[in-house]
Amino acid sequence: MSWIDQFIKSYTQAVSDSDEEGWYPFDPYLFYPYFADLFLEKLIRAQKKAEERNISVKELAKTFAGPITLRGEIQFLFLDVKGSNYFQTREGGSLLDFFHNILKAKCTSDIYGFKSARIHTAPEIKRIAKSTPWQKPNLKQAQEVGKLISACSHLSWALYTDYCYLQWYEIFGPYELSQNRTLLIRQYSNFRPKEVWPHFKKFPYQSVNIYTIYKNVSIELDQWSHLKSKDNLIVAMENIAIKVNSRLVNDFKTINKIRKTIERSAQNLQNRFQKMDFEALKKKVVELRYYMYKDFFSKVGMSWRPEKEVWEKIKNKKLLPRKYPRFKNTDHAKKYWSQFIDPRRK
Amino acid sequence: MKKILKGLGVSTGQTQGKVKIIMESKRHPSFQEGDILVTRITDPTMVTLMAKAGAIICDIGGMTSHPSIVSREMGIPCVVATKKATKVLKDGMIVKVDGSKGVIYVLD
Repeated sequence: MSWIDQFIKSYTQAVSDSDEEGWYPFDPYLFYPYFADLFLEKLIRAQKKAEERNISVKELAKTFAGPITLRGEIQFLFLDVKGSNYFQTREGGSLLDFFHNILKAKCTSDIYGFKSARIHTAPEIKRIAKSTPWQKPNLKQAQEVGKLISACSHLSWALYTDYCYLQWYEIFGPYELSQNRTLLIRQYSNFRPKEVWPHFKKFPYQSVNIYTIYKNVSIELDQWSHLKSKDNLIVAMENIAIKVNSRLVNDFKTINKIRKTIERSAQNLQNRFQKMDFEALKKKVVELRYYMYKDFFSKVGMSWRPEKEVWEKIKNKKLLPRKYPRFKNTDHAKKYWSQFIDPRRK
Repeated sequence: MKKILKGLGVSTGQTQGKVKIIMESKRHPSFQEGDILVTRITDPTMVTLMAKAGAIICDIGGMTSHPSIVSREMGIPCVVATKKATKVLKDGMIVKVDGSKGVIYVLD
């Protein structure tokens, strides 16, 4: 099976569990094609610069927060290539292989995200499990941690939409520890994206990292970082450690205060987002997509900002009039999405 | 106890509470801790309500939609894809939510 087939297999699992009606602020599949040619052109230029400057795939992998970011973008790149002038071209194929290589360099296993997002080696996990200053939460404290995770996730979604957040909200794991325990590391790395939301320049928290160990649970992460479990993660939460702005916070009064600040900001920003007119919304989505590649473009000496031609491509355009079928069952959905995303098929 | 609605159970657990239909992202001062949040689909404007909710019920959604993921992280029951929760359930109804089976019961 080619890597594209394997990637698509994992993708169809993720997308069939989702509900495209709920994607916000709007369905990217109905919008990204408008600027696909220009976006791919920029990435191909970046690829050439990386090759000219002998920048290794490993170094490029460091510019992406984790495997979920790369997987999330590769599915969009499949669609971009499919619907653009780069369909079935050498450059289009080479670009996809290029990002595939970066993804491989990022993961320690399960590259295509069937059930996990792992970037740490076994010795690294052993060190984290041993050296992290763990706390044992009682039920109320575990609930507070759950609410903090919700608040941070919500702010990520509000800042970066439902599909441009992955660079700034990665989950690593699940890592199996001894005695039937499971480690997850949640990393929210940029709550001050001043380049795209200037009024967030002075937000009190730049980053939040949440380490959780669960006992006797079964957890999977799909290709898009969606956590699946049939267990109650609050009841099963055995150990936690929380870092805010890289500093450990273990007082729950403070954690509660941080959580409420983040919640309020998420709510306010999302309200602001929802009041934007459609032209402003489209521009913001484009900006956020390019912003995800900020560190990658900087590494090869390019600006991340969209070129002015991109704005002309999306101006006054409505979303594409695609209608998804009503799926009879999961197999039907998977077959549809497999054909939909396959970059080798028009 | 009467079964009133069925959907996709996406976050385990059972709880009961008072229904609050939320159709817009506004301030809802009457939403109390433990109330059952009922809406078409949640969005980030509802983050504060979700943190107070005892359970979440939605008209649409899948296993990995927004309410499903958030409910699992917070350990509260959630049922999505009910198709008509916002029509069938009424503000103030006392219901029991089974997030494993995806069933909602109205309590007398």
